[in-house]
Parts: sequence; structure tokens; C-alpha cells
Amino acid sequence: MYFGSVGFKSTYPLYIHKKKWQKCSQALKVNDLVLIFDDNAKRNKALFHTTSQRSDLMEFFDIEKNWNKQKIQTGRSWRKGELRIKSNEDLHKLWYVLLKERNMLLTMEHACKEEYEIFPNPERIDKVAESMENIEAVVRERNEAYHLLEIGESGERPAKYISNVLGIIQTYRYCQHVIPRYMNTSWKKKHMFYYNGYAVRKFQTLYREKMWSQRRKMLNREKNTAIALIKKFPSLNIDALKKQYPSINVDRILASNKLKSLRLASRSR
Amino acid sequence: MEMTKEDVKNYIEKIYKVPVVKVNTRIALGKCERNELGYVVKRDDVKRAYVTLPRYEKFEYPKLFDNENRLKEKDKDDKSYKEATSEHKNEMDKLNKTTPGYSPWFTI
Repeated sequence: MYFGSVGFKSTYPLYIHKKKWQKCSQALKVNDLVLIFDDNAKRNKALFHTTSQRSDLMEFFDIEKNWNKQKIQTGRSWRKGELRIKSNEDLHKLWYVLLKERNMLLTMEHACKEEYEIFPNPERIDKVAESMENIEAVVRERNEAYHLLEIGESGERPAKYISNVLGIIQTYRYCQHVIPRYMNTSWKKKHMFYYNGYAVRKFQTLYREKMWSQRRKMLNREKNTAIALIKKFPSLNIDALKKQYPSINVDRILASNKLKSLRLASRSR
Repeated sequence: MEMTKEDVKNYIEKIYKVPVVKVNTRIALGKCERNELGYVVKRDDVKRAYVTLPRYEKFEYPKLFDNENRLKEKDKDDKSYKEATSEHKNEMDKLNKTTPGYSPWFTI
């Protein structure tokens, strides 16, 4: 069980009752943990810790203990695998814990900046951001699964490929509009999914030429490196070379004049 | 920039459970600076919200930076660093006495 630094109210005090657990494990012969809900948990308060909930503007600041510290040690961020086990409700709570934590860190960072002090362990912000990202990903997964099951479509925002004014293919993500498309002149001006004219055709030829020259140079470079490798290591594994550079014709290179001196041309036959 | 006055009010009331009387917002202009290449670069604009709390709600900005405690913490760190490095330093000092000017692998 883990609770964040800010913590949330658990409706029931939850703890592991040692004797009851032993009894259960003996009877059932299971080594799994047995959690028992008990109303009289107040006596054994020390067994289970939660941080008290502060609902105040002081939540924007770190705990007083950490104020003058040079180093504040924290654990790692939440992983996707761990979040997948959690219920939706838990994820919702955790999201707000992380949100508050992020606000706190950003406030402290700003305060440090104003005082020309070093903000201790700035990687905490990244950790929080990563765990929030992971939560979002897990929720998206669940949403998608639910939609596929119920409707047969993923609930993602629909998108399609369009060619823009310059004739370059892009993805356009649909969104809702108040004004219908044929009336929405300002939208029409921004989103033109067609192209024509001499200038665009000229641009396209030049653009294609540029792309091809880039590719040609890349292929030449790969070819030359392959030749250099074969020259340096004559007993090279040719299959591995083919795997490494799938876009070039290795057999043709072996037969080329550049490798004549090595007499490796016979290999390809 | 996307948050409106209502959003700020709801954010503080619902997430932080602090009552709010009113919220004023303004958009602060990002500063223009010259970067290392000499080009003028404009920082992003920021929306600032001024929140008025009810009279019974009290908030004082905490004194986050206490110099005395801070120096103590620094001394602690320095001490632990010195302790960790002192062993190596003593060895090097010994070597410097016996064979000054030579690297440690040279001596027997």
C-alpha cells in the first residue's frame, strides 16, 4: 500500500491484524496477504501510517522540514504496470495528489529562483510529470478498450490525411465547430486542403529533388561504408551486412571494381 | 493562459478547499531578451491571477529561507564530503612525502 506525500482520506482504517492473519493463513494454507477491515483500529494506530490531510494554501509549499535542505531524497515515479492494477477511483485520487505535488514543486522552484538559491533535486518535477503521463496513458488504454467493446470504435479523436496548400501530406485531427463548415469563412481561410498553381508545382519539383538528393547521399554513404568494412575485414559476415544495410545491394558491391583487388567477387556467384 | 477567472476560482475552491471572494486576472507581457547569438527573443506571455480571500481566512507567506539553518546544512554536507575524501588525501600526502612529484603507480 502506498499513499502519496499529501495523502487522501481512507474511509476505513486499514491494517494487517497479525493474529487474525496467522489464523487465516494456517486454515487456508495460503501465503497471500490477508487484509482485515476493523473498526477498532484506533488502538493499533502505529501499524498504519497516513500523512494528515492539509487543506490549506500551505499545500502550495513544501513541508517545513524540507525548507532549508540541500538534498531531498524521493522515490521513483509511478510505472504503467503499477497503475494498471489500480482502480479508476484510485487513479483519480492519485492524479490530484500528483497535481498538488507538481504545484508545490513549481512554487518552491519559483521561490528559490527569486532568492537566488539552488532548488534541491529538480528531477522531482520530471518524476511527477512522468507519472502523470503514465496515468493519462493508462486511462486512455481503458477508455479505448471500453469503446472497442461497446461501440466497436476506439474513442480517440478522429483524424485523416490531407494535403496542405503546398501539397505536403499531413494529419488533420477533427474537432467540433459551432458554425457549420460552409459558413465558417475564418476556418476556411486557415484550413485549405487543396493546392494548385505554377508556384506550388515548382516548389514540389524542387522539394522532391531535395528529398531524393538526401536519400541518394544516404545510400552512397552506406555503400561506401560497406565497401570500407569489406576492405578492412575481408572475412566479414555478408548476411549480417545485408541486415545492417537493407537499402543497398550488397551483391552488386561485391562485384564492383572497387573490390577487385580483394577478389571477393566470386563470393556472390 | 487558457484558465479563466471561473477556472481559477473552481481550482482553488475544489482542489485546495479554500474559499474565494473574487479573482482578477491579467496577462503579463513576456520580456524581450537577446540570446547568445544576438537575436531578440521574446519570452512567453503569462497569465497572473490575483485572488481575494474572505476576511476570516488568514495566509502569511512563509519565511522559506532561513540563513542560519541553511548554513548548518551546508556545513553538514561539507563535513561528510571531507570525511569521505580524507582517506585518499592522507594516502596522497604520504606518497608526496616519500616520492614527491611522482604519480602513485610509480612508487612501490
